[in-house]
Amino acid sequence: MNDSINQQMILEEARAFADKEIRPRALEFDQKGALARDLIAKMAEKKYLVASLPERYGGLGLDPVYYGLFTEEIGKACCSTRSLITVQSSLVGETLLKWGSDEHRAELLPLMASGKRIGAFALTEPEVGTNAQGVQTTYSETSHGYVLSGRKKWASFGGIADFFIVIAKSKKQISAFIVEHDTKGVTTIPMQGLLAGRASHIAEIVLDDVVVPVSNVIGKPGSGYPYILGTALDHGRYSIAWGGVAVAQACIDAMVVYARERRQFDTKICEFQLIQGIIGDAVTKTHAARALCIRAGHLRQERNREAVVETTIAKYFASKVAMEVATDAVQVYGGNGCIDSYPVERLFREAKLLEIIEGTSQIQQQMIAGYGLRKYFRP
Amino acid sequence: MTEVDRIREFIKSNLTVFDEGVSFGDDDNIFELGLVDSLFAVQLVLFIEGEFDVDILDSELNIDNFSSVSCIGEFVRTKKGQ
Repeated sequence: MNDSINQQMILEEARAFADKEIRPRALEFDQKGALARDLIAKMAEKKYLVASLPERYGGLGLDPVYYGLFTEEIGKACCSTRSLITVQSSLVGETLLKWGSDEHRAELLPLMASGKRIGAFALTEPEVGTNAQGVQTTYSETSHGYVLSGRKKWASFGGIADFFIVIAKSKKQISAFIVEHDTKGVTTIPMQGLLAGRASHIAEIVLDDVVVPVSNVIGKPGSGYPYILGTALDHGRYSIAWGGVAVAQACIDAMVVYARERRQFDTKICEFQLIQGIIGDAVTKTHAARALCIRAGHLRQERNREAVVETTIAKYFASKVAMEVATDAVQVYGGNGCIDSYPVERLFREAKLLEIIEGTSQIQQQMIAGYGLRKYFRP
Repeated sequence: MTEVDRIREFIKSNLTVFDEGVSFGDDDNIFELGLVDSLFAVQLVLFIEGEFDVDILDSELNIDNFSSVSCIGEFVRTKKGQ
């Protein structure tokens, strides 16, 4: 793992990169519904795509706290670009790092780092969201390997991915498979008309009797739920938590400038106490969200078993704060907050998504409540 | 405490069933009985690796290894070469 001086330098460089290469193009990506390939290539050159992975696999070796701070820097500039890192580094990369075979790690991770292979995580289905155990994509074992059939939906970067981690069910077991995009029977359909994540290449993936070799099973057959999926979503939630901080901070950055420049009644609107109330709350809530994320990051670094629930708490709170602060930012902008000429319009849409992906807020509340009912019970 | 005692205590402290009278045997499948939630699996991995200083490999991710107190205890003993 990189030492803290190096990691701080990486962070500062990432901030400058985001300012120069990402933020000026965020609106263009949103409107075109695609990230630019040249940006992905530049991010690969910087080893940003799998920033949390060890250097021996082509990553930056950022520890969890610095990886979070890095995620915030990218996420402040563009949510879809942050989403690329969430999927490559957290959902797919970390899952393969922990549960992939030596061959999976050696073959896939360096290619993901270099941007030559994009991965996507395929769990959600048309009829299956929160209830992951209910997946309807099936697999069966044959003499040629496994045969998968079904339909996945909402796979971020599914539209440009070279391979997918697919969660599928047999009669009794749920397993995770690496499925190559160019395998016979695989079709992807880009999803249109999205509220948010418009440049995240979100796609449906149709699997029609797709044959995958036995060696493409991640972990052991039957370990897809809860182990592979649990690991992927735990890393995904951590990244999304920081994505929430990023949206909230980007909203503050925008509304502070606007409130100091916009004049009404011959007065800068930042002089009005009701606007100050909004900004005061936004700063306080965003600092609190970041503090929860940093705490979760330290626990993850220690591999403390409390890290899982603290990550859930951070994700729940940070995504909620992102939505609240984005709503307030639109309010400060007034009519100008309702048009894409200003970034808060996009941030408002993106914030909502964070309360849904990697586990809805309501599921997070249930899990946190379960933890609280155990931890604080004094009969 | 023995290894099995520590495993049993960890599971007891993470039950998602809030009936004070609930109990489970060392051979009971805690997942099939619905005694733990979906976060528990990742916590269990962190617990085993941290508490017993072992690294669970992908080739060992057989769900039977982690289904009960006895199975987890056997897995840990095997890993530690006892």
